Amino acid sequence: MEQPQGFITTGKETQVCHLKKAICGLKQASHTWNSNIHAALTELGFKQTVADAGIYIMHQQEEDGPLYIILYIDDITILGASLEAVKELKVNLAKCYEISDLEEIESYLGICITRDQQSKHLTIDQSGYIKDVLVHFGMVDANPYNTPLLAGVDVHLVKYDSQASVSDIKYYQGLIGSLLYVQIGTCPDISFAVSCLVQYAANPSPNHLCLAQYVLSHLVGTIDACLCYDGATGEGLYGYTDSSLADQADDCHSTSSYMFLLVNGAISWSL
Amino acid sequence: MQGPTLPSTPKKEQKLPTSPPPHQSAVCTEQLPLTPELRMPGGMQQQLRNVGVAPRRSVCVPVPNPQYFNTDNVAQRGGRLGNAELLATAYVGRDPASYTEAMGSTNADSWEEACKYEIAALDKNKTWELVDLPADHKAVKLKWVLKHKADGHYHACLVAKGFTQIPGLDYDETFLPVACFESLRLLLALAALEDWEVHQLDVKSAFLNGVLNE
Repeated sequence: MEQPQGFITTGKETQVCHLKKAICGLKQASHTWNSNIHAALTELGFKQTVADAGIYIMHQQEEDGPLYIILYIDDITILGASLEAVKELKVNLAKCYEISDLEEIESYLGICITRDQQSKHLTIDQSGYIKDVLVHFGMVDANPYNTPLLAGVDVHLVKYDSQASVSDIKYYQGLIGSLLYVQIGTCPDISFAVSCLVQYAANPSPNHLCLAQYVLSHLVGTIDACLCYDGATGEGLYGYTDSSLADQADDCHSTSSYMFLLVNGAISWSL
Repeated sequence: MQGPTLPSTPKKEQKLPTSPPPHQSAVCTEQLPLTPELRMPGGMQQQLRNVGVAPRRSVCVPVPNPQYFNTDNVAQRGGRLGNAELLATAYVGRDPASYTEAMGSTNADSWEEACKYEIAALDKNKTWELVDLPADHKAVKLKWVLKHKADGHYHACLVAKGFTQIPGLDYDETFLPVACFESLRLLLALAALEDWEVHQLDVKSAFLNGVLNE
């Protein structure tokens, strides 16, 4: 690597920096960081789960129960039954890295998390993010629609026979991208609509544009809706699934969907 | 399927929602009532006029930060910008694009201090050592990313131009697995059920911790 501009060592102008540690911008920076934190967590006794490489589990003594870590690049979320164990883990991590302690979780990647310890309620919502999206697309004052998609819209969900303009495509893709993030976060209600519309992101017709804005208008009405996990009910895992044979007007593909609920809140869906 | 009318379903004919046409709202920031002089950063236009050549590349137009720019206020005042908006307009997009530009600017001292701070942090971390460049090798270029933060302090970050690296030679793996939302929701639901503690940490300058082997 070159010597940084403005900080070239005098007398050694021809020399270059041989990197020992990663810096921002290097292709492998993210991977080396991940190997590093993986090694550190393994050292502390955590095991990476097979299903999700971002989740680490440590089984402790019987009375404490396991400790969980959700790792998202440099964002570490710790879950555990005993406060002492969580605090001890924080102290151990602080030995390895320079960390800032954000205490009780309040938000995660734009998802707002609120807890009510008494009623054992935990709610997650994305109202802040949705608001930003509405401002960006100038739809804050739109009239809210009750449904994410119109009835009988199938005939409009077909390929566009002419070519959409570049700005239309950009606009549509930006809008659909924002809707997708809302959909995978906390809004299973718009999931079906978004999955219908996302198929036309390469060449959207004017009708598709209108429908995408229709979904956004639906979000105006449901901006404060949240997913609520009600621990007091103690409800177990429920799964629902449905499918429909050759329902797509375009190519006669079938659609299938599922949703899983735990303690009265949706945890996983694909519609 | 050109027209905006929907199929006549037996019930009644519905019209597709007629929202505002896409682009007016999306790019409203470009229709600001600004004089052309204001749009050009740092008297660049004057220089261009003196030299008498058309700009070769597209000139960066400072776009007001929507956080500080309220279009409602402007409409009320008959299209004229208030002091706060003007300040925001002038300020946003004026971060120096390079080290040279920063050193030539009025607050060069502050930028230099920020750069020194970053270099000190990298030195402390023993990020590199000086060596002679081996023959047949090219050094990866660097860039200073200089930002004026919202709280008023000057932030400098040294980044490598990773796009000049060669796959297989300079680096192998680049992936970084992250947790998916399903796992997050599952664990949060369990936390609600079992009354767990949920705490969050943030690792500062995480990428500087990675050790390179190549």
